[in-house]
Amino acid sequence: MFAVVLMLLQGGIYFGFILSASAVIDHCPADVWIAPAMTVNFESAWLFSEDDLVAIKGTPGILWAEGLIHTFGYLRLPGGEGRWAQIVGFNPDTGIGGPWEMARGSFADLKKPGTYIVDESSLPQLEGVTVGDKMENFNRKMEIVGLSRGAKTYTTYPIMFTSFRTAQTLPFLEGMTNYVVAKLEDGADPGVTLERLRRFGRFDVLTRDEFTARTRTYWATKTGIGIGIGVTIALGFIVGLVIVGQTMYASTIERIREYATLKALGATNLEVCSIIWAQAALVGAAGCGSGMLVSLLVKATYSGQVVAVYFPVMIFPIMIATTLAMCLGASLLSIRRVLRVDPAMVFRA
Amino acid sequence: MTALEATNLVKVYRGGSDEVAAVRGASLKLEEGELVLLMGPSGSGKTTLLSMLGCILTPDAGTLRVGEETVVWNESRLPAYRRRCFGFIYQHFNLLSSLNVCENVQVPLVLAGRRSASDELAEHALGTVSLAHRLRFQVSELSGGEKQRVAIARAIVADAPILLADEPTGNLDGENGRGVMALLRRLAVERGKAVLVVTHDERAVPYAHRVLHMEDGVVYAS
Repeated sequence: MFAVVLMLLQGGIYFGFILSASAVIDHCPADVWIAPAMTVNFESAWLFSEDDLVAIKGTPGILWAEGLIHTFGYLRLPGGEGRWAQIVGFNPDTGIGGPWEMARGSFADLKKPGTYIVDESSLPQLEGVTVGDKMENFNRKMEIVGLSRGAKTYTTYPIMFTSFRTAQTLPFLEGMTNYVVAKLEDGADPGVTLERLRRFGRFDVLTRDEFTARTRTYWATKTGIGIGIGVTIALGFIVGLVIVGQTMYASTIERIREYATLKALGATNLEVCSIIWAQAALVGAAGCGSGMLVSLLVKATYSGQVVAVYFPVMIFPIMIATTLAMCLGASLLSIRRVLRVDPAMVFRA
Repeated sequence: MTALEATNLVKVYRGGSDEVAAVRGASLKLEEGELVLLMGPSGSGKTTLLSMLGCILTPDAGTLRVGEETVVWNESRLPAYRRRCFGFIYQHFNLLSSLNVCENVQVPLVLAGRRSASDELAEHALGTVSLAHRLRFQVSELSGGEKQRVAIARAIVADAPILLADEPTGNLDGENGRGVMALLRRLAVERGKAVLVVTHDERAVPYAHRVLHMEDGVVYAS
């Protein structure tokens, strides 16, 4: 059970993290993301002039296009502490690139300069600020006007949303943007339209799926998170293998005379092994069932908190197969032992 | 009719450069409907011979006929001989502790793929040994004599023609020991089983049709 909980929760944290890392991209209705060349993930895009937005909008096949900013702010909280934060600047008139669920307030509240929406999951990192609180961002006045839901931060920084125009008031961002997100016209050939955009020469032009994959791949492979979680999952597997193996072997040794009796009564090696396999499957089913239950309880307990845990449906059959493989692997020593047991031992004291 | 015939069975145990000939050309015949005792001092090779007669141990030389069939000493075929031809009774009972009385008796039927009829047959076998009332008891709840009777029920449940018993009274008091021997005798006489009992127990002699002696790996008729 311990191994299943460890593997499942680590897997859940990994998927939760990966999904959070691309959450803004995934929830944005744009078909195309235009970013400065060499952009490796969502929060590392360099800047380009907002003037390019006009040319992009005029490209045949583009229905609409919006600027979108991702930057980092340095907040001075009401209590005086400093805190870095991720800030997404979007157009509150269209909501494109903004939060996808509001807990309090609305996008319209962002039309006033210096206003921000904080995601609920980030509140613990902001010392309990709430709607109406006033603070500073790079010495510029800011006010919390709403709370969003579901945009869990995937770093140690809280995540906040503001208007594109307010974001442009932050250092180095005047007249600049990180992204232009665009929608293709109905019937427009995506390949042709994207190729037209690439002719600008200064941009990475990606479909939403491509940018999602690029961002997730970056976090999974370039940051050590993937390998770190992978190693933990492997350790969970090994710990489970050893514990189940030891338990099964001890049980087999305890009953070795009974296995010898079965062989003496005419049980074949396959029949005797099938008893061990059945035990392994039973141990696996019990461990997997209870482990999944505990993992779901842990997920429910931490839902809405800082760590995002997400279990895709496929993780459960994979976990069942992994646990079964672990238990069958753990039974190999026992199998080896019963295969070698001499049925003639039934005659000995 | 001859149920079992062993001719010149030999078994030599090898450990490094040491060789111990446990059985040196043992021959014996077991007829249907008779109870034969095999007696002899410790280390005379009785248990080794019994293991070979029950197709549990492969001899180094010699032949074994079971009914009309000559045993082919192929490891993959031996379990089938054991299932079909033999019922085993051990000094230490060797019942399966996690199963109840009925389930223990059913084991040979399950191994023979006769699970569907196993309830009825197990109940009948337990009735034969006067233990039908202990059907759902756990093995740990039984006395030594009852455990041995369960083992006998297990040995006869699949209607094996030959019963091989190793010191069946060794762990029993006088009364239970006599009860078990009487039961084995009854199985030979009334059911036509060929019963071979390896024992040190002189009290078993009155129940036997014949007594064989074994010494230094060789079988002698009395």
